[in-house]
Amino acid sequence: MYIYLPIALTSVTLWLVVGLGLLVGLLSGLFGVGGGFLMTPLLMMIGIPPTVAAATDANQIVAASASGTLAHWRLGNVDFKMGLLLLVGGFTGGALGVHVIKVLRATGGADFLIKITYVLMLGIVGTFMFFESLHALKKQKAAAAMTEEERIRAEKEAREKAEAKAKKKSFLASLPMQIYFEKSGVTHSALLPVALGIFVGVLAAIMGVGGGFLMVPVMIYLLRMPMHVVVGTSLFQIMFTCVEVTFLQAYQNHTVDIILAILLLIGSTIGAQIGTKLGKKLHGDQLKILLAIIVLGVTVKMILGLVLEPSLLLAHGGGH
Amino acid sequence: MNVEKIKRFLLLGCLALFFASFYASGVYALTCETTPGKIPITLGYHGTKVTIQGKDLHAPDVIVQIHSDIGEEHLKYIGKASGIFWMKLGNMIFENVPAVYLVYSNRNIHEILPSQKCEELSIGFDSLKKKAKIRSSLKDLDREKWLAEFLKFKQKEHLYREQPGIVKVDQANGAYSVEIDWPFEAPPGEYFVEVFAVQNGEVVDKAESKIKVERVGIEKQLSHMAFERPALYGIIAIIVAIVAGFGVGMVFKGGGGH
Repeated sequence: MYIYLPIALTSVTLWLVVGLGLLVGLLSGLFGVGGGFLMTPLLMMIGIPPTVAAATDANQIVAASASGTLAHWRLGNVDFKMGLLLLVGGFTGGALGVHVIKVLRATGGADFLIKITYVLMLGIVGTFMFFESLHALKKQKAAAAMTEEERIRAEKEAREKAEAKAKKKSFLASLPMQIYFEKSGVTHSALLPVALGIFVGVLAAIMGVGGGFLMVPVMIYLLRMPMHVVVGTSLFQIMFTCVEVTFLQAYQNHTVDIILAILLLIGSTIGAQIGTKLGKKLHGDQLKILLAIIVLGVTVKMILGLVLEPSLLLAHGGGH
Repeated sequence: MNVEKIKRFLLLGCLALFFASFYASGVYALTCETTPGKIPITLGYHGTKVTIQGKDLHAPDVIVQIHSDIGEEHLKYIGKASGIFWMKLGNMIFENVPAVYLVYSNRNIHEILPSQKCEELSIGFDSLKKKAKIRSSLKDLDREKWLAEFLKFKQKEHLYREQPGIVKVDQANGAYSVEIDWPFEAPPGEYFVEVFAVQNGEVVDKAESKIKVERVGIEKQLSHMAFERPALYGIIAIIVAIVAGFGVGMVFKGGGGH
């Protein structure tokens, strides 16, 4: 069964598009990422023009993240206080990033910067998460095999390490506006999530994605939030970012295809719910290692796309 | 007597001129009928079959070509950056080319018409390549290479096609017909159909027609709203997404998922 898309000006197979939505929604519910880094290239592969693919993707992420946020909110996994601060930073960073890319486009070489930033960020985040999760899983296995004496010694060492780490963190602790985030069980200066939000916002705007795959590691490793709260809070923040992007793309560029978005969101909203339920059954480190493998897979695909000669030497404008 | 002869010659001359001007004004004996003449783009549209047929054919060969308005195609060229990475490096604008160009014939067009005639009448890919111009920031532009790339790109998008051997010619009854797969990738607009009857390397007759591709129903309304009322369109897109997201969330809760 075919559907003609009025803005993309192309015809697609209904079940293929719903299936893509389901797959990306599943990832969204599992990991708290919008899936933009995966969906946009997939849509381009089935013949959607790059500009329409990126804009419509943002629209469908609104649905998937709304569905995911609701599911996580019911489970008590959304830190609204942290989410709002990250959102303030994300909006500011997004506006800054859009300006940066405008300047770069005028001077030339923007496409090169976008591609390299994409590959580097995905590569670094994926590699770091992979090895960190692998280390954590190995530690769990080793702990299970320890004698009582060994366990006491290991716990003592871990405590000493944590204390040394806490001393190093004294700079962050000395920042003003310290707030306790009850849901996440951490204390940070309000400036920290805003600053990190700006950083991710700038990168997300340069790369043309929602930034979920960057925000999730930032929450885990820099804000030290527990994994189950990270996913819900990330979805909450992504939902608002994508509402802004959808409106701007529809208003300024006329590139949001509502029919394509509806087909994708039928799949992605259901996928997000399944993902959330599946996520509850998996251990945090297992989730992290799965996400790391996906991110690294996309990185390898992008590197191959950069290094191997394409079959066509002409392309439409827009996209990555 | 001489005056009568002169009168007769003048009358014959006038008649010859009349028929010649009739021919030149585009009113030919050869006919051309496209079915359907209007292609509606509906929600389930995936291209369609179009039949082009005609009568009063007094030639052994037929070329049918369909094209959109002649204009510019704005594309990006891909090259190696820093000697390692393949990526879009700059703009390449192809001038004097149609967005859609489909050519059908009963035999290979190079066997039917000499290349010079093809060029004169703008028939076929070779003629299109000769008339096209390229504007680009690329230094030392290899025209032949990039025009070949352009044809490859458009053929991959199903917007350019050169298909010999599919026009059926019935010389006994002086008729021709061809059934084509109209590509869904062809955007809405007006397309020009030109039929050339060819004999001994010369076009002896020509007929013209048009095909109109237009959005109808919900496709038309959505496209109109997206371009004419973009703020409302954007807000509706967001509301639909949020309602769908929360709605599915509710359904899953209702199903006793938690």
